[in-house]
Amino acid sequence: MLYYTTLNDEKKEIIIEDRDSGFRIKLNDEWHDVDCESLADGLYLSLLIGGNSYTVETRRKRNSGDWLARFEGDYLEVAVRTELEERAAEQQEEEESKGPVLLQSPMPGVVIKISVEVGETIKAGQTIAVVEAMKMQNELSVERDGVVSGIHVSAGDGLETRALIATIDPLPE
Amino acid sequence: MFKKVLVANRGEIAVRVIRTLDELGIRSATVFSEADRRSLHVARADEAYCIGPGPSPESYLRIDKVIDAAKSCGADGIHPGYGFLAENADFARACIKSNIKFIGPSPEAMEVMGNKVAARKRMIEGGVPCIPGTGESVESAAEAIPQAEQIGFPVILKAAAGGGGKGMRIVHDAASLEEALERTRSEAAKAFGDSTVFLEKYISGPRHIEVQIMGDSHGNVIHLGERECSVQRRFQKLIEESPSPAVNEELRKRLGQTAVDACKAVNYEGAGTVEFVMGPDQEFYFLEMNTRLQVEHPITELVTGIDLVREQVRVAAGLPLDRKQEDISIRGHAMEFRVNAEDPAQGFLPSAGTITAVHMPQGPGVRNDVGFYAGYEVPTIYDPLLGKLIIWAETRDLCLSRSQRAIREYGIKGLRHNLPFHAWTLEQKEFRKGNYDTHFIDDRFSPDLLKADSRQEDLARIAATIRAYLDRDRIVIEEGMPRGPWKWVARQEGVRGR
Repeated sequence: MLYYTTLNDEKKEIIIEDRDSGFRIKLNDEWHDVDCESLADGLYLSLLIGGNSYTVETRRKRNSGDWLARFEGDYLEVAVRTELEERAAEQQEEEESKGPVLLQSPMPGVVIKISVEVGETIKAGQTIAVVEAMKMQNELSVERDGVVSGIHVSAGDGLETRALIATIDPLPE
Repeated sequence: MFKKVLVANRGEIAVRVIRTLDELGIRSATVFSEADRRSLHVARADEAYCIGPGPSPESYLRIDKVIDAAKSCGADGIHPGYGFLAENADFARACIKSNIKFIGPSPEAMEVMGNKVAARKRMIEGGVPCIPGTGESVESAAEAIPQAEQIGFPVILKAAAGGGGKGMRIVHDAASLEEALERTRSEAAKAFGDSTVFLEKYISGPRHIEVQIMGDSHGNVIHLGERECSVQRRFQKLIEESPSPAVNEELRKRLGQTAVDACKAVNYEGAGTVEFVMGPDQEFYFLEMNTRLQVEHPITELVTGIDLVREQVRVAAGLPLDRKQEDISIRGHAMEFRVNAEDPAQGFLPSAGTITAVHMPQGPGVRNDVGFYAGYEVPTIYDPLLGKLIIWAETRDLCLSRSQRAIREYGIKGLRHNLPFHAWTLEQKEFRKGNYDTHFIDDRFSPDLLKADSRQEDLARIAATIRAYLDRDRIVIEEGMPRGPWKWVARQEGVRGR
């Protein structure tokens, strides 16, 4: 079966086939025999590839179909899609880039400060709001330049995870 | 000796204290908030009493409720842990009034040392070196600017009642002083109920070095060597080690003697930590004293072989220290890594959620002090410290590689944590050489540096693809769909057409 895997914006094709005790996997134009066991309630995948043993922590990212995998470093986000899903995702991405970006609270907390105003042009990474959670003040921003078209909370408001804080429209052409 | 001790804390430190009580044959009681019924300290203690709603001002910070719980369960001692009421002199007084021994110093010693302005005065009188500064409260920019100019920029603003990195701000020029002062004062008022702020010279290239001391009620005070705590992010310690790579035997003696002098100046009893800031010239200045057990106390335990909580309990029971200064020797090297529910890839954003699976590192020289388990939902209303990984080895080099090995073994599933940050730090040349100061992280770390190599990326792609492939028949359960496990299996099987 063919999958498209996207990691840090780089797309690679992977073909996976069943084998007796595991899988045959094609990546970077090379076939690998992968012996695989799920360990510790699914915390780890234990992979044996050409005699080398790798223990990779994997889980599905919350509120997303993507995967998180960690091997001797930080979690890496991997989108794994079939051909059909890949085409649908590309289409959706194109539409989203024309639409607004929503800044949502990544965790439950309290709004300390809103640092922008409606109508203001902002840069990617610029602080839009300061939210306090776990006794720390966190500066929240979005990853795209744009114009603030809506602010939906004010200082002092309590926030649930994914509560809408601000809407950022794309810059006018 | 005590019959029953109430541990007035939560999380990993409450579990830590309960362990020693258990070993000493003392019955342990603890308190918990409504948000903590499923927290580990409640399960580990012999007795546990709910003292109110989740927010700490309504539970863990309520002196009356904690004292009531201690009285009604018949505890003859209270161990405050760190944070919450641990450095609250009113709480220590309330304990004395209720005829319950507070396991810590006298309220007077706490009051002097807990207030940075008062502590500084007392230290200067006692001949302990202090950083040039106002030593007194500054209230307005008009007052602060000439003082700052006299001391010389950069200066640092500090909340008198602050600690643990909270309520501090560095100011580089007169222009930004007013806003910084205002913000520091309002934060201090909010966090500590005291807006007193003072100003002092900011040492560049500073190392944070602290000395563990232990005093008894018979006037004996000894030191247990130093801890290097310079790996900090925004004044929050992340990694600590003992001994410090910047301290030799001669300097250790001077630091230790200075710390002992500082404690004798306030008739200190129990465990305490004297914090110093040390410049590249090895000149050191008194920073503050923490009149309690520190988060990072285990590294001192590993290099001295002394259980600090046991000593606290013994000393509080009126026993003299059973060791003299010359009996103390430092053996090997220890490091502590704070495991926080924070995502280093996203500016250390707190990460909430349920820990669904855990694999704790084991093997020689590995100690885990944690307050979580698989299935634990991390409350968002307390600080993000999940636990501590503490490593001991015979030398610093071995300690570095053992730490890397243990972090590779460590797995936590369900939320983001900062272990990838620790793995990164352990690879840095400057850290490995012991050549770092308190700016190390703020200057050098950026989330981009956590980027994986192509081998790690390929493994991530393979693992994720296998998961997706194994999950391909699984249907997403939407609202209104059957939820029972049997129906779930039935539907999956149905889809597979078997």
